[in-house]
Amino acid sequence: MTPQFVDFDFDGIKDIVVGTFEGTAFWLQGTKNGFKKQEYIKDSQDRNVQLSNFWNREEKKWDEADRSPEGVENPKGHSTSVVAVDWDGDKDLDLLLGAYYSGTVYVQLNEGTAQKPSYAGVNHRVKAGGEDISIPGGLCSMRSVDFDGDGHSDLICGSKKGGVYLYRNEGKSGPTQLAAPQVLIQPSGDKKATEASRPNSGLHIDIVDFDEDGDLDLLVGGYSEWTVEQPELTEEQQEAVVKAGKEASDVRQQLSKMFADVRSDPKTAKEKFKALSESPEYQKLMEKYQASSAKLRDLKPNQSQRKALVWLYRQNS
Amino acid sequence: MLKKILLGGLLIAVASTNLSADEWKFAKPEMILDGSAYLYPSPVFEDLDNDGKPELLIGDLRGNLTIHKYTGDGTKHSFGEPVRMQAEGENISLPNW
Repeated sequence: MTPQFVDFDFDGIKDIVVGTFEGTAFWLQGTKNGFKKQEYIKDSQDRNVQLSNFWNREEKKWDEADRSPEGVENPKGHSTSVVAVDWDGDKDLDLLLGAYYSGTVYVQLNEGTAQKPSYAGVNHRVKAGGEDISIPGGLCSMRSVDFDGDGHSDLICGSKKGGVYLYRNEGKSGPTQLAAPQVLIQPSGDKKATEASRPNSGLHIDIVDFDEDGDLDLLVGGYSEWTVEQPELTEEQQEAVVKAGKEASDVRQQLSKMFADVRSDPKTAKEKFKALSESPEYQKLMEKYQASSAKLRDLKPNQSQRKALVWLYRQNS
Repeated sequence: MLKKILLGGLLIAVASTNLSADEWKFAKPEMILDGSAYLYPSPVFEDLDNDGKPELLIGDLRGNLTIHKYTGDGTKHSFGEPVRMQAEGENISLPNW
């Protein structure tokens, strides 16, 4: 989810536009007294703006819809990032939709006006350098910003696998024309890092002149991954590890039996799980499981460490 | 003639797959916020209260938007305790996960 602050309704006050893991797009209207509650961004047929794959809330399942242009096969795409930008140079806001797993980018054009948008309901693949954009490892986030200072909005994308990519807009005026990608941050395959030193996966980005030195820096949220050395265990500690492991395994089996009934009917699963989770029997088992897990963690810390952190990359002019 | 065609083709191939990072240089990244309270933190800088200093807003997989006020001095950066962002008096919660 990458919130974008943009004057979406052209009333002079910034709003928030945001894509969600559900696969849809929302906006929250800004007013002089704060933000209004979120609303779905709809197309001209009053359908949610989205790619093909989305979470169907009413039927509680992943579902598919066709938003492809006529004659084009409906591509599999699950949008989790949305950016409002004037793509075709007609002074209103179109929508870019980023597909999380495939790393592809689509544009849905506004066929109305700035103040009264009318989204086409059809998504077109975005190209760069003559080829379809495909972010290596999948796409987490997008930003539209004039990164190179030439007066035209470029596109910057953060990847699931740790890279950040710049697509410069080479269009002189009118429609956007993106060039082939340039790497701003290389994805890191360094599995030998012994401490958190950078974001390695799930990169969500913002572009801002943080240090006010006239160039744009990168603000990056993501998961850092590193490895810690495991200490040698004494014989007594090794026995304790085996015992705690067996305790945890026994509890997991008991919980598994409890969940089997809960899962049997998806329509009642939510209510059954709520009742189960509030039962004293379940809570006692969870306490036992957490105690065993804590013992294991103390004796045998995970070698692989992973933590969500927010980083700043200052640009050197 | 063949040499010119081959050389031209090579130049086109290099130009169309230019992933060079030489043009943009960044300093070593600085960790500015422990985001472990969030799932897939998505940070944004925005001056929400119009006081001339941007706040750090974090969106995350749970669908929440959370604000951290800037408390640093420009050289050493720090951010305040998290406060859920609200709309019409209620915490914003988007259907994310």
